[in-house]
Amino acid sequence: MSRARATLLVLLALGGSVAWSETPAPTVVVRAFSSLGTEDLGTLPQSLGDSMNNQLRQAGFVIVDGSSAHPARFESRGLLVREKGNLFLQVEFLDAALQSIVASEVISVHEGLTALNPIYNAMAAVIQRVKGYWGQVSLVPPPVTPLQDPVVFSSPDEGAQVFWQNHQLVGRILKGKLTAPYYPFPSNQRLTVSVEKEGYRVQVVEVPLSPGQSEYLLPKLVKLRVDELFPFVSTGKLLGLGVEYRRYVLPDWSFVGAEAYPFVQWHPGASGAQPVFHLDLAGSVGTWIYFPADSLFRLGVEASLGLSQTMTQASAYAPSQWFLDATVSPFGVLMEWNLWGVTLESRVQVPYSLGLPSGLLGQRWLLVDGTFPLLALGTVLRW
Amino acid sequence: MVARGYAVCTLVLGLLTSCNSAFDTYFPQSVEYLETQTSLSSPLGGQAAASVLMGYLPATTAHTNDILVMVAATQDGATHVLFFDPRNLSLKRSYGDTDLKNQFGGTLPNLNLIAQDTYGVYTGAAAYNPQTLDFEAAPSGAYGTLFPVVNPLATRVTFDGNSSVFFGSSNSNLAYQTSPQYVALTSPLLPAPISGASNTTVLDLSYWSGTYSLVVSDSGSRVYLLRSGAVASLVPPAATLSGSGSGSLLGWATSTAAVVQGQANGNISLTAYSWTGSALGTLQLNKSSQQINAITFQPNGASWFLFDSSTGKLSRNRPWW
Repeated sequence: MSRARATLLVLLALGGSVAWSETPAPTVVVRAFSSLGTEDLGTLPQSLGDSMNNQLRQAGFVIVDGSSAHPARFESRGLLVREKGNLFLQVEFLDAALQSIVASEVISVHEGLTALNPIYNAMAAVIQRVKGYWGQVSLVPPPVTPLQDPVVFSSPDEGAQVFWQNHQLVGRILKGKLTAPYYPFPSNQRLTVSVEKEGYRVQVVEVPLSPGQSEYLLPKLVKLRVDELFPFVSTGKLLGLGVEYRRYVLPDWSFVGAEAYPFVQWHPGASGAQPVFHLDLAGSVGTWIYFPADSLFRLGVEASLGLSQTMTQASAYAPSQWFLDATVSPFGVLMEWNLWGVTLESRVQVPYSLGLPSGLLGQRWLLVDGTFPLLALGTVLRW
Repeated sequence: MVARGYAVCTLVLGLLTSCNSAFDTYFPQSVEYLETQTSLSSPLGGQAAASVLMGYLPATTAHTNDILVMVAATQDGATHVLFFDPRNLSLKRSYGDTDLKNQFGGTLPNLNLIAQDTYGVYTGAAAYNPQTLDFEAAPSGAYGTLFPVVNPLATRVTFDGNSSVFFGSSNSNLAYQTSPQYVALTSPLLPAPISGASNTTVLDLSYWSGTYSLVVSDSGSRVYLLRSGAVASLVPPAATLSGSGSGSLLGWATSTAAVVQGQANGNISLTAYSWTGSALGTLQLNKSSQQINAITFQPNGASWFLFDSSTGKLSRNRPWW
């Protein structure tokens, strides 16, 4: 026998409550003694309850209130009847995990001071049996009971379809809820559930089942990127604001777009310079290449065809004039950052002017200062 | 929210660009000075220009309206002489390759110097009636048939109402001559040399309201601004530029500013200087490798004209100084 075990036995002999150093302490909720019959029992039920608590503590049980925050493995129940000079006592312990009685004791004694001793002995005996039982089952996981009730899913996405188990359709969310057909799932299973709705991203979630819970809230679905606006400013036209409307033909990934960017060309400090008004219009196709929607970073490409209108101010020699240039941007690079709930996007383009006879630009690559590509920066708005 | 985002994005992009270029676009800066513009596609037969000369001829007693003259060679080898009303750039008269060859016996004459006198208007050896702009016979000894000043491409001419004034170089020194007509004299006059200058090249000569203005460069990457009421006393220079624009091969003289062409980021920069040498402003013109620009100025500085071969457009513009 090891020295540690010998020490334990000494402690036990001294009446200590550290009975099961190698097993977790069992938790128990002590229900008040109930009484039957017409004769008054006085303070006896309360006194027996106190005695039960004391004996359980001394035996190493942890007494809890049995709430969801402090669940108990065992529950003690007592019944006391006084009739014709006799006291009838029944004590039983329930294993809450198995929902079964694991120990009970029944005793009938004549009233009087001599009655208390056999009652206390009966309570001690039943507590000892529970201790013995706990010593056998404490290190073995309790068997899992099947769910007793059908699972109910709740979701804010009306009409969403819910699938489980190999994409079997469970049903649709109606009035915020879906009651699934009953299936005796083990009460500790993690259900893999897929929630789907047209126009929204598919959400696959793990739902941990719980024996005390029948309703489970599914996460709110996120809309697919179908329509969005990209308001932006660009180098080369900082005195203006552009906006691109995108319609995703492949939601979240590939889009066609239409863009307008009115801006003023003007060097405020330059003598003789007059503001010139431009309106750039463009149609585009683009696609995201790397990383799913709402990733921290995405990379894409965009190509566009544009018309650039210019209107000068009237002079002493000529009225206001209107010019039209056409451009093509075969290689645009898109970068997107999703940070703190905001989508930021940048675009780098080098348009090529086709040199329309009605235009100002001639045939050339369009670079700011003849050096820098057009760098756009903006945010993305969706609905 | 959107307004705040716009402000932030504009600020970020503004910081990414330099303060000078924050307002730059991919449109030419000259558009901000544009008064009117016309396409030369049709007058040039739909061909791209290979080389272009332009000159501005103010009204004289021989013609009441100013004339803008262009001599252009196109990439098909043809040569064109075009006369415009500089106010609205309407084409007043044009001569094509065939017209010029027919006029000169099948061989194109030298057309390099755009000039005038009381007798006519000239493009090199070709003479035109100043009113009708029809061909007419050039005076005997017209400049273009004779080159007494050694380097004809570096010779500039102006008309002061009485005389044609030629300024060029002879043996790397300044040389000039004056003549009642657009006629070359055999012996040019040699003014006092510009102190410290060597291998001088005349960039432009103009006359306006009693004052001659001359822009000269030298091999030492200096530009000299010379101004006087008398041709003979143009030297010494009023100002010497040795910095921005120095070493340029092109410059222009107007009554209000001298303009010197330089390079910036591979583009053309035109810097205007007062005749005392202080910089008045710089204009950038986009330039691709195939682009040919021709520029000329109204002698009084009220406007300037730009031909851009990438667009095939001739424009009239306000000054930027």
